[in-house]
Amino acid sequence: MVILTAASLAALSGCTKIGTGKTILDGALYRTTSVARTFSYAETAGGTQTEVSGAIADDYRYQLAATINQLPAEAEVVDDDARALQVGDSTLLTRLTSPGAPVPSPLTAGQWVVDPTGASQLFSAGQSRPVVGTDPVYDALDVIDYVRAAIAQSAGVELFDPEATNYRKQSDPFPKPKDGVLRYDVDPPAVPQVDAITAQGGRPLDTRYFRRMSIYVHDGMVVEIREEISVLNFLEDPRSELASRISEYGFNLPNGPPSVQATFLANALDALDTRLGLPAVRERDLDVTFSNLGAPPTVTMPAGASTGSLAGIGDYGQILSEQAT
Amino acid sequence: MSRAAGVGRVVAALGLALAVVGLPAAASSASNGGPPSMLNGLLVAPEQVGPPPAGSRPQLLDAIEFYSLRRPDKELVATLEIGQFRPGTHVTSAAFQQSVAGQVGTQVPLEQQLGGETVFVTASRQVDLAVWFRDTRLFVLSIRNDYDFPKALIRAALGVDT
Repeated sequence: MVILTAASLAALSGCTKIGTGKTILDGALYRTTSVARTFSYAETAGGTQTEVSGAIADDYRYQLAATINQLPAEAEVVDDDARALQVGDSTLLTRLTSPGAPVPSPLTAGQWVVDPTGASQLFSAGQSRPVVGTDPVYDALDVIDYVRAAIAQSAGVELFDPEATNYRKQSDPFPKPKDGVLRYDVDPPAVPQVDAITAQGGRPLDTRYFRRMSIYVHDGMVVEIREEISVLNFLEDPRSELASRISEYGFNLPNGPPSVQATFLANALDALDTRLGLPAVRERDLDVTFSNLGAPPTVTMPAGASTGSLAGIGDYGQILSEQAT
Repeated sequence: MSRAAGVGRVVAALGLALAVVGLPAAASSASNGGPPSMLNGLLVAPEQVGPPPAGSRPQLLDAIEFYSLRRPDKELVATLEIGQFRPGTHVTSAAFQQSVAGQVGTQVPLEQQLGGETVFVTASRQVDLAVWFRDTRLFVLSIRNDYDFPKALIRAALGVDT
């Protein structure tokens, strides 16, 4: 007879949890931010495809170009204190512009505008950071800090182990790592107990409870980040207990296939978030790949750009930096 | 603004900051030849270093060079201090560098990467501070926070592009 104790199950679970997995991943994230790199950022959210390609020579020199549904949307070049911007999507330009900020007319016409001191802030503008989905260039530049925030909200970090007792292939949306690559999975937290505030219609489940994220590491550097934020994935995964416990939150799922229930729940969460003024659970698929690690790319300001002020237009201060600890 | 008053006004906080890492008494050594005569369009000139404030903590530096960086009209924009750590100091330790950088300004420093080097950026009263380490030397670039081109100046001071 085989008796599996809690300890032996834990040993089989692939647990590196918050301890070593997070420590190793923190190191890889730090090393990756410390070197020159190129990257591609591809997001699908709500039927919209956003792609950003970028080259980062260092924290003061980089260039990025974004498309939305294959159409040029935004491009930015930063060279020390100078910042050049081109926005080809008028809806996006409106979204990027702070209330009252004057927009140079060439920018409105989709042309390049360079602000010679538009990137001179040494620090982040802090509270003005946009929510994910507002500015694709910012999202792409900030992706490693985004990963760190996701880790901080998680239940832990585990080295990918398809033989672990807690692994469920049907709930894993990401590919296995290639030879020589380590995959670290960011575990979603368990659905919390409902407290009095939540039971009365406040504090809904937020993004962290619907996120799957894996980070692929090669030679101590991050080479790929995958994320899926999906209500359906968690409704179908019994480990999450979402389907069995969501009624505790006041959501009564309709009869029907999981896809119908997921649509209902996503809409209900969205309505509650809107009513409470909270960030929405934004379902998406994200794939970010890094390449040319340690090889500084050439960053050049666009020729023929008009000169103007870009203050208040996608202007968040210094984005790339690390908090010294 | 007079030249002396300008130095005093802009780097008053900086002088105190360097005292915590052991500013030596009137020590000045330009044995390395110093920085170039111009950085990012600013005129560079050596300045005298005064005695450390009373009650300074034990010294980590045993020599310091101090330079002013001025516009052509003589207005002071920045200062550059180059300190030589005492032998045996573990300068390459990341923890040591973060600790020193953390004492130079009044904010938790940020690490920023420029041309393959790590620069710690922090701030004090009316000045932004860039701190970096090279071999056994400490560099502190103090820049007026109304200067329009701090990043180009930091890069020039690092010598990345020269």
